[in-house]
Amino acid sequence: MKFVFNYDKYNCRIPIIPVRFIRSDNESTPIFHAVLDSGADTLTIPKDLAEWLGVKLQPKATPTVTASGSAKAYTGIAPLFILGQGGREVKYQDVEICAMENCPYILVGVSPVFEDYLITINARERKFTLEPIK
Amino acid sequence: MVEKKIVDKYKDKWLLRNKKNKILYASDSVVDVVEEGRKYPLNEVFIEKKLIPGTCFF
Repeated sequence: MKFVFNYDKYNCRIPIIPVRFIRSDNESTPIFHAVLDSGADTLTIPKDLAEWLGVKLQPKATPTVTASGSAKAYTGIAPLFILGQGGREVKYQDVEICAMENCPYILVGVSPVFEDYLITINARERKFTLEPIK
Repeated sequence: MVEKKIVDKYKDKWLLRNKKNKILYASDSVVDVVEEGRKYPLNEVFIEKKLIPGTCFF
Protein backbone atom coordinates (compact mmCIF):
# COMPACT_ATOMS: atom_id res chain seq x y z
CA MET A 1 0.00 0.00 0.00
CA LYS A 2 1.38 3.41 -1.02
CA PHE A 3 0.89 6.25 1.45
CA VAL A 4 0.98 9.98 0.90
CA PHE A 5 1.04 12.11 4.04
CA ASN A 6 0.58 15.84 3.99
CA TYR A 7 2.07 17.47 7.07
CA ASP A 8 1.52 21.09 6.09
CA LYS A 9 -1.38 21.28 8.54
CA TYR A 10 0.99 20.76 11.47
CA ASN A 11 2.70 24.11 10.80
CA CYS A 12 6.09 22.48 11.09
CA ARG A 13 8.95 21.58 8.74
CA ILE A 14 9.55 18.18 10.28
CA PRO A 15 7.70 15.25 8.65
CA ILE A 16 4.99 14.01 11.00
CA ILE A 17 3.24 10.65 10.73
CA PRO A 18 0.28 9.28 12.72
CA VAL A 19 1.01 6.11 14.69
CA ARG A 20 -0.37 4.18 17.63
CA PHE A 21 0.48 1.21 19.78
CA ILE A 22 -1.61 -1.69 21.03
CA ARG A 23 -0.82 -3.65 24.17
CA SER A 24 -0.97 -7.43 24.39
CA ASP A 25 -4.36 -7.10 26.17
CA ASN A 26 -5.62 -5.28 23.03
CA GLU A 27 -5.80 -1.83 24.64
CA SER A 28 -4.77 0.92 22.24
CA THR A 29 -3.07 4.23 22.79
CA PRO A 30 -4.61 7.28 21.14
CA ILE A 31 -2.95 8.35 17.91
CA PHE A 32 0.47 9.93 18.29
CA HIS A 33 1.93 12.41 15.87
CA ALA A 34 5.37 10.88 15.46
CA VAL A 35 8.44 12.18 13.67
CA LEU A 36 9.66 10.33 10.62
CA ASP A 37 13.36 10.28 11.51
CA SER A 38 16.04 8.69 9.33
CA GLY A 39 18.53 9.66 12.04
CA ALA A 40 16.97 7.26 14.53
CA ASP A 41 18.12 3.67 14.33
CA THR A 42 14.79 2.24 15.34
CA LEU A 43 11.34 3.09 16.67
CA THR A 44 12.09 5.25 19.71
CA ILE A 45 9.57 5.97 22.48
CA PRO A 46 9.53 7.29 26.05
CA LYS A 47 10.42 4.68 28.68
CA ASP A 48 7.19 5.20 30.63
CA LEU A 49 5.15 4.61 27.48
CA ALA A 50 7.09 1.37 26.88
CA GLU A 51 6.25 0.31 30.43
CA TRP A 52 2.58 1.17 29.89
CA LEU A 53 2.67 -1.06 26.81
CA GLY A 54 4.02 -3.88 28.95
CA VAL A 55 7.32 -4.06 27.08
CA LYS A 56 10.04 -5.96 28.91
CA LEU A 57 12.98 -3.60 28.74
CA GLN A 58 16.65 -4.50 28.71
CA PRO A 59 19.21 -1.75 29.33
CA LYS A 60 21.44 -1.09 26.36
CA ALA A 61 25.07 -1.82 27.00
CA THR A 62 26.14 1.63 25.87
CA PRO A 63 24.34 4.98 26.09
CA THR A 64 22.47 6.14 23.01
CA VAL A 65 23.93 9.23 21.38
CA THR A 66 21.42 11.99 20.69
CA ALA A 67 21.68 15.53 19.40
CA SER A 68 21.79 16.82 22.97
CA GLY A 69 24.30 14.29 24.30
CA SER A 70 24.13 10.69 25.36
CA ALA A 71 21.16 9.12 27.11
CA LYS A 72 20.46 5.88 28.93
CA ALA A 73 18.41 3.67 26.67
CA TYR A 74 16.63 0.34 26.76
CA THR A 75 15.51 -2.13 24.14
CA GLY A 76 12.41 -4.27 23.98
CA ILE A 77 9.67 -5.64 21.78
CA ALA A 78 6.36 -3.79 21.43
CA PRO A 79 3.42 -6.15 20.76
CA LEU A 80 1.75 -4.11 18.01
CA PHE A 81 2.72 -0.87 16.27
CA ILE A 82 0.37 0.73 13.75
CA LEU A 83 1.51 3.18 11.12
CA GLY A 84 -1.15 5.47 9.61
CA GLN A 85 -4.74 6.04 10.64
CA GLY A 86 -8.34 5.92 9.52
CA GLY A 87 -8.30 2.59 7.74
CA ARG A 88 -5.05 3.26 5.85
CA GLU A 89 -2.88 1.45 8.32
CA VAL A 90 0.05 -0.94 8.38
CA LYS A 91 0.46 -3.20 11.39
CA TYR A 92 3.81 -4.30 12.73
CA GLN A 93 3.73 -7.11 15.24
CA ASP A 94 6.51 -7.65 17.77
CA VAL A 95 8.50 -4.65 16.68
CA GLU A 96 11.84 -3.74 18.22
CA ILE A 97 11.81 -0.44 20.10
CA CYS A 98 14.32 1.78 21.81
CA ALA A 99 13.03 3.41 25.02
CA MET A 100 14.58 6.49 26.58
CA GLU A 101 13.72 8.35 29.77
CA ASN A 102 13.76 11.82 28.26
CA CYS A 103 12.54 10.92 24.82
CA PRO A 104 11.39 14.18 23.23
CA TYR A 105 8.99 12.65 20.74
CA ILE A 106 7.96 9.34 19.20
CA LEU A 107 10.59 8.75 16.52
CA VAL A 108 9.82 6.45 13.59
CA GLY A 109 13.32 5.34 12.72
CA VAL A 110 15.08 3.27 10.10
CA SER A 111 13.93 -0.08 11.50
CA PRO A 112 11.34 -1.12 10.49
CA VAL A 113 9.72 1.63 8.39
CA PHE A 114 12.67 2.92 6.31
CA GLU A 115 13.66 -0.68 5.61
CA ASP A 116 10.21 -1.51 4.28
CA TYR A 117 9.36 1.66 2.38
CA LEU A 118 11.01 3.91 -0.14
CA ILE A 119 10.40 7.29 1.47
CA THR A 120 10.35 10.50 -0.53
CA ILE A 121 10.05 13.74 1.41
CA ASN A 122 8.90 16.79 -0.48
CA ALA A 123 9.83 19.40 2.13
CA ARG A 124 8.76 22.31 -0.05
CA GLU A 125 5.20 21.01 -0.24
CA ARG A 126 5.39 19.44 3.20
CA LYS A 127 4.35 15.99 2.17
CA PHE A 128 6.00 12.62 1.93
CA THR A 129 5.35 9.36 0.17
CA LEU A 130 5.91 5.84 1.41
CA GLU A 131 6.13 3.19 -1.29
CA PRO A 132 6.59 -0.45 -0.30
CA ILE A 133 9.97 -1.86 -1.29
CA LYS A 134 9.33 -5.05 -3.20
CA MET B 1 14.62 48.39 24.59
CA VAL B 2 13.13 45.81 26.93
CA GLU B 3 13.14 42.32 25.50
CA LYS B 4 9.80 40.65 26.00
CA LYS B 5 9.97 37.02 27.07
CA ILE B 6 7.15 34.84 25.89
CA VAL B 7 6.53 31.95 28.22
CA ASP B 8 4.92 28.97 26.58
CA LYS B 9 3.24 26.94 29.29
CA TYR B 10 2.96 23.97 26.95
CA LYS B 11 6.64 23.86 26.03
CA ASP B 12 8.06 20.34 26.43
CA LYS B 13 4.71 18.96 27.57
CA TRP B 14 2.82 16.10 25.98
CA LEU B 15 -0.41 17.50 24.57
CA LEU B 16 -3.76 15.93 23.85
CA ARG B 17 -5.49 17.80 21.04
CA ASN B 18 -8.78 17.39 19.26
CA LYS B 19 -9.36 17.58 15.50
CA LYS B 20 -9.65 21.34 15.69
CA ASN B 21 -6.20 21.41 17.27
CA LYS B 22 -7.58 22.56 20.60
CA ILE B 23 -5.48 21.46 23.55
CA LEU B 24 -7.64 19.28 25.79
CA TYR B 25 -5.00 18.17 28.24
CA ALA B 26 -1.29 18.66 28.88
CA SER B 27 1.19 16.87 31.09
CA ASP B 28 4.88 16.09 31.51
CA SER B 29 3.85 12.44 31.67
CA VAL B 30 3.07 10.78 28.37
CA VAL B 31 1.19 8.02 30.22
CA ASP B 32 -1.16 10.55 31.84
CA VAL B 33 -1.92 11.94 28.38
CA VAL B 34 -2.44 8.44 26.96
CA GLU B 35 -4.93 7.63 29.74
CA GLU B 36 -6.78 10.92 29.23
CA GLY B 37 -6.86 10.38 25.47
CA ARG B 38 -8.34 6.91 25.87
CA LYS B 39 -11.53 8.54 27.19
CA TYR B 40 -12.21 9.82 23.64
CA PRO B 41 -13.01 7.91 20.42
CA LEU B 42 -9.83 6.81 18.65
CA ASN B 43 -9.79 9.18 15.70
CA GLU B 44 -11.09 12.22 17.60
CA VAL B 45 -7.88 13.12 19.43
CA PHE B 46 -4.13 12.88 19.02
CA ILE B 47 -1.04 13.25 21.15
CA GLU B 48 1.98 15.33 20.29
CA LYS B 49 4.51 17.82 21.56
CA LYS B 50 4.88 21.29 20.17
CA LEU B 51 7.49 21.38 17.46
CA ILE B 52 8.95 24.83 17.25
CA PRO B 53 11.15 25.89 14.32
CA GLY B 54 14.72 24.82 15.02
CA THR B 55 13.71 21.56 16.69
CA CYS B 56 16.33 18.89 16.19
CA PHE B 57 16.21 15.25 17.22
CA PHE B 58 19.01 12.85 16.30
